[in-house]
Amino acid sequence: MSAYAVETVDLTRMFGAQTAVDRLSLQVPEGSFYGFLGPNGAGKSTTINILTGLLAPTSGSARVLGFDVVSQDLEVKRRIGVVPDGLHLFERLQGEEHLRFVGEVHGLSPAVARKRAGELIEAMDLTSSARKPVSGYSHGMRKKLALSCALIHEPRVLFLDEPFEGVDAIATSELRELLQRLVANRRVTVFLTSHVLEVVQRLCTHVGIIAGGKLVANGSLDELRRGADGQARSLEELFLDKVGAQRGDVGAGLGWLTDAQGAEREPGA
Amino acid sequence: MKTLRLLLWLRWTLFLRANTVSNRIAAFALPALFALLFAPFYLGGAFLAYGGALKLGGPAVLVALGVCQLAWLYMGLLLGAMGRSFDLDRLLGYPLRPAEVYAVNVLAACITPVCVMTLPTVFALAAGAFMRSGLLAGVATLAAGMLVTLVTSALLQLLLAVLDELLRREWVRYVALALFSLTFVALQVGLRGLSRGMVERFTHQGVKPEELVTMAAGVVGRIPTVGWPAALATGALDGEPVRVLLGLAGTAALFALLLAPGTALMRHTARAGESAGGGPARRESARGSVAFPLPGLPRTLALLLAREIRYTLQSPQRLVSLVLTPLVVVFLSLGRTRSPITQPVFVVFMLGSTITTSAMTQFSFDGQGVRQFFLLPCAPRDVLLAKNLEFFLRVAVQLLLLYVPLSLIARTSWTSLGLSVLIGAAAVVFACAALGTYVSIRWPVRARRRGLSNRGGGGWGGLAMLGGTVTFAALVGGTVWAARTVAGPAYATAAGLAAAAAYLAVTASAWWISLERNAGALITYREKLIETIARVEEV
Repeated sequence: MSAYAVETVDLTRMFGAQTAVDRLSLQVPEGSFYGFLGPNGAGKSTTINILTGLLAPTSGSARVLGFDVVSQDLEVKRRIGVVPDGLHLFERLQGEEHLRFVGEVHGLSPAVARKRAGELIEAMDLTSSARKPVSGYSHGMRKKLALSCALIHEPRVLFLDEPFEGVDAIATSELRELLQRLVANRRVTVFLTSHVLEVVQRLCTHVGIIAGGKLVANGSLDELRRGADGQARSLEELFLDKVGAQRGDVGAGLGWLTDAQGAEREPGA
Repeated sequence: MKTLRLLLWLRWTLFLRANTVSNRIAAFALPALFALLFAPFYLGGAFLAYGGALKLGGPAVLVALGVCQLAWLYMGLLLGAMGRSFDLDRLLGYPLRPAEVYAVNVLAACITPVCVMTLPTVFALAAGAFMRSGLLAGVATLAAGMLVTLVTSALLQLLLAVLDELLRREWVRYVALALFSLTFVALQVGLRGLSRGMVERFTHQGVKPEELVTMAAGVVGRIPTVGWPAALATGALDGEPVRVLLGLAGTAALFALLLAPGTALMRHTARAGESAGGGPARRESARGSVAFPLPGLPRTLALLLAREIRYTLQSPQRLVSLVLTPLVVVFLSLGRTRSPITQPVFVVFMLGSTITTSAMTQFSFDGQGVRQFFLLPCAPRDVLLAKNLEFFLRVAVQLLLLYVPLSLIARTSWTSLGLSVLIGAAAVVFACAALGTYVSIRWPVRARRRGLSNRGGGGWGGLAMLGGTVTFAALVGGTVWAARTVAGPAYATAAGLAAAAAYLAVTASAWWISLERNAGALITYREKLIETIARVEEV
């Protein structure tokens, strides 16, 4: 059995002529809290979608807990929990019904699924909406339910694509704590993407940075922050160093917007 | 004008981007097919309109334009009653005046097939008026026709907005749709009987058709939405310029009258937002499994099937489409036991098209949840088997809803065929499930929250499937009939049964084998499926 929870070799995914993920080779140690960072359109969600079976790779290979994501996809799915970028809930099921359904499909007995569903709903503060159709849930409530669905069967690897987006501060804080306990006590591997670097810096033990489909940094957070010169940097500095340099001056050409005198208006505008 | 141009561009661009090239061609092909099918009606109408305008002048123009307006409103309400033609929710964030959006809707409605079909009549009227009273009368009649078209479109948009406003809750909307359709069918049946009676009475009294047209024109002329814009033509034909001016003024006032409430309603509707989701909490036993206790089914399959059934029960659009076709067929058959409506060909066509549509849209109602099928540890074959089993259940309900009342209404046509028909239908359903599942994976179509306009399977695949199913059903029916005929009266039942059973055995086997192949297709085409079905509702 591999020591890595997630391992990809030359993983490539193309959409027509565009390469979304370009020969990505990364290893995520089991029991680590892995932050997968990158600017918009870098290939983060595509990578997660390949690892969780929503997308097929164009070439290369990917293994989760030693199982190939293409040929052994059911084995992978039995062991992982996923909160994908786009929402994925059955809108016409009730929240509690949905959770029990997911739990039972993962092999839990009806009694256990019911008990865990109740506990997760309470923990996520969804009790008052548990018997309402998901279609009536707010974005934050959907995220919480999606997280509950990802957790109900005790996964060994959790793939979370922007899990805190749209979730209120209290719930975010509780979720962070929950995830940290999962990693520390149950050696669950968390593979997380987030645009909030502060969250990643606080939670993650390992970090990978992807830009333009290519992996530009990978390793433990401490190692990466120290860098080659041995001086400690913040994650933001590291991120901007690896990714920001590729982009030019954002304000260039926007003088009409940013200059003190503004710009002349078109006649009649 | 700039905003208007931009909105028209937006509408056109969204239409182009929403479909692949082949689907766009298919989107044009279907209306073209309908246009061809209905050609005898509207071209015949145009021919009559030409003759009427030439011979009778103003009264014929009035009556013809009145009939055009009625046809357009009738079809427009029937087809679009439950759908907003331009979803304003997304436009609310932009500095747009609702009046402009309303105007775009009105203009866009002028190129709908029903409206286009009335154009030959308008041109024929203009030609008839030209031949009768000269160029000015011809041009005035053409202008009057265009004005009636615009007024009708504005009126239709207002009526649709009112209906949309009244029917904001999803369940109410679809139940209303069922009642609405049945009411129209009842009206149609009633009017047919009434008009036949009137014609018989007038013929008996010796009233000439010309006098009938004049009498009808007297009634139609009093309806402002036809009479006022048509006054442009009748005034020119009768040489009364004052009537022309009054007609123009009246039409302008009419536009203003329609625009104000239409705009206000659109503004209100846009601000009220979507109300399809949510709903009250349901009481449900939290005991036991989510799955139904179905003996013999593996647990995952039972869970998936339970979800499918729950989903159908929670989807008013699906439930209404389930019961509507049988209800309409049965309704039309009431009291008309000798008409062609109760004949098998009609029923097979109606049911075939409904079942085909249903088979082709097996993923359409899953919305964003479609991703779950690929995230959960369930085999693709199980996902499809659950969907197909639920499809069979729905078809069984439809067949029951149709077959039982029709057997009672038209004993001679149905009970004699009995079991053969049911077995033959089952054979068609199995074939439909196998092919429809593939189409629903290969050419997925997302169900709309509002309206029913996007229920059918997509593109050429959908069209081919529809034609194929009806042809196959005809083939099964033909074979059963041939077997019965060849076998003679003594063995007719046995021969028919044997032929139908042979078809059933073949298609059931083909369906079972197809499950594995379709499961492969599900994996191959999953990205397109997710992209299409899970996409957020657009403008």
